Amino acid sequence: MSRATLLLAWGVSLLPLLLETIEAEPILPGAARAGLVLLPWLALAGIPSIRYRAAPGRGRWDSALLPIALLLPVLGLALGLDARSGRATLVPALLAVAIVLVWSLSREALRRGGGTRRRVQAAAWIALVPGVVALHAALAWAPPGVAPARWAWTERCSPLAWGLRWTAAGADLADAPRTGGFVLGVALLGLALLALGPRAVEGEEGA
Amino acid sequence: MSVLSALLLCVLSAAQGNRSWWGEVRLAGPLESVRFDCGADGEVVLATSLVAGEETTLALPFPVRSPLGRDGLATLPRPEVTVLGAGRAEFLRWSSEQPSDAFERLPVGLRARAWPPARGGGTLGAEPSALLLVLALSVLVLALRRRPAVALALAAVGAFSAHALALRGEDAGHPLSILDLEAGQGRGLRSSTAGELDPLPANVLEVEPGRARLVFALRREDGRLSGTASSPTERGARLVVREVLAADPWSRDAGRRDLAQAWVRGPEGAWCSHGAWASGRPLPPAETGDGDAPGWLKAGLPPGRDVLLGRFAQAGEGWLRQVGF
Repeated sequence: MSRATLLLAWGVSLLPLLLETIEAEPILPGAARAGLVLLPWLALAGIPSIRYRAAPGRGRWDSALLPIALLLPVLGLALGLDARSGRATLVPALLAVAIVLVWSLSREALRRGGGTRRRVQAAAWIALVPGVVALHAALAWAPPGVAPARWAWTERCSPLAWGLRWTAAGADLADAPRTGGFVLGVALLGLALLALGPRAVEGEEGA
Repeated sequence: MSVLSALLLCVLSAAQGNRSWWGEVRLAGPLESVRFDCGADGEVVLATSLVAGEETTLALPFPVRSPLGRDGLATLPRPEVTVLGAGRAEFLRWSSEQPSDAFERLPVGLRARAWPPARGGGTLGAEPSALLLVLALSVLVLALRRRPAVALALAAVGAFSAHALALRGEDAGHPLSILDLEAGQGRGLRSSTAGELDPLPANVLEVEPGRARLVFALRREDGRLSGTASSPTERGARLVVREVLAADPWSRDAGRRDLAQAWVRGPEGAWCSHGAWASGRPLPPAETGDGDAPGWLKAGLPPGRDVLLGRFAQAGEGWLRQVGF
């Protein structure tokens, strides 16, 4: 992630906790604070970059771990506040951190691996993060009966849709429909394998 | 002076008053939804699924304010009824038996014990120290960005510290529960607070501030009534459920539970902290100092009597306050 994107994600994730302390009111009553903290990271961790300039001497893990390091203290605070108000959010939060790590790692590794790999990562992010959300926003505006029900399973393909659902309703991330969760899991696994594969290392060395 | 205090207590008690008075309604299908508008006090929205030809009479709670208690219900305007569907709905009368009857029979002293101030029972949001810790850690992580393994280790330690700091104190938005007892009564009063209630209890319901508009969202399925209570127009409104317990749950017969912290006041008025008190064991000896029982828990207790205050060890059970220990 670029420095500006890192700071944006960090600032937006901290904002709900800051406002809740200042206002002494929950920003979204009933919402999981950990979900609010994770939402910007789920959205931005894999955002593709058009240009890439590798920092000398820095590997893919170096760049991928920095977002996690910035996320953890804010998330720890949010998890503590959730636990204090009787809400257990640790397991879905760990799952979401793993998703952020895969996005971040794949972004850093694949963009070093050349044009095709970079495009694969960019296409996956566009399809899974804003694409699915935009698709369902469009389907929601369609007149009743027009929107085909066979698209319903795609709702949980996006980590952002998971984060939104979890944040708004306080639902467990494990509530996601199996098909959508399976597709997201396969996509993230594929990205992780591509990112950790030897070709990515070659690309990294060549970058 | 004591007469004035008693009068003030009665006035305050009446002003806060019950906001869940039961009334009988008649419904005739086909009917999907009925709204009972109680004016500035609130409304009841009942979701049902009566088919054509089906008719029923049932009792519902209404969030009206009745400063004169159950005797004043007859003087209140009847709720305005709006139906969704081709059926009919009608408010018949206020119920002859109200859940508040048992509460009204309790001694005034037990009913009017002190409550934490609306924001004083805890904090909402993070402690400033926890926020400062997160800010400092973030700056350090950015400074160590060329050594991400070190930054990650530091962040993990920081996350645990921020988590521990956030857990300190009690969340004002978290339900608060107090068990009030008086020696010789053989009954107890459990009071619980929440921002909104799910499910809506069949007990006395009070709201702070008293002017807050309440919405009861009810659902009737298979003859069973369920629902929630909330105050969508009043930010930070606190709903208080008052449940009269038929037996003293703290008696030796009922089985006492562990206290994480116990405080005792003698008839002379001096407070002593006794630390944790495990059930079935004698009261631990007094510790040095007068203890740190919350001020609201100690406020307004009758002088010249033994008092036991405690915080239950089990999370969510809240506080114990017994006069005549």
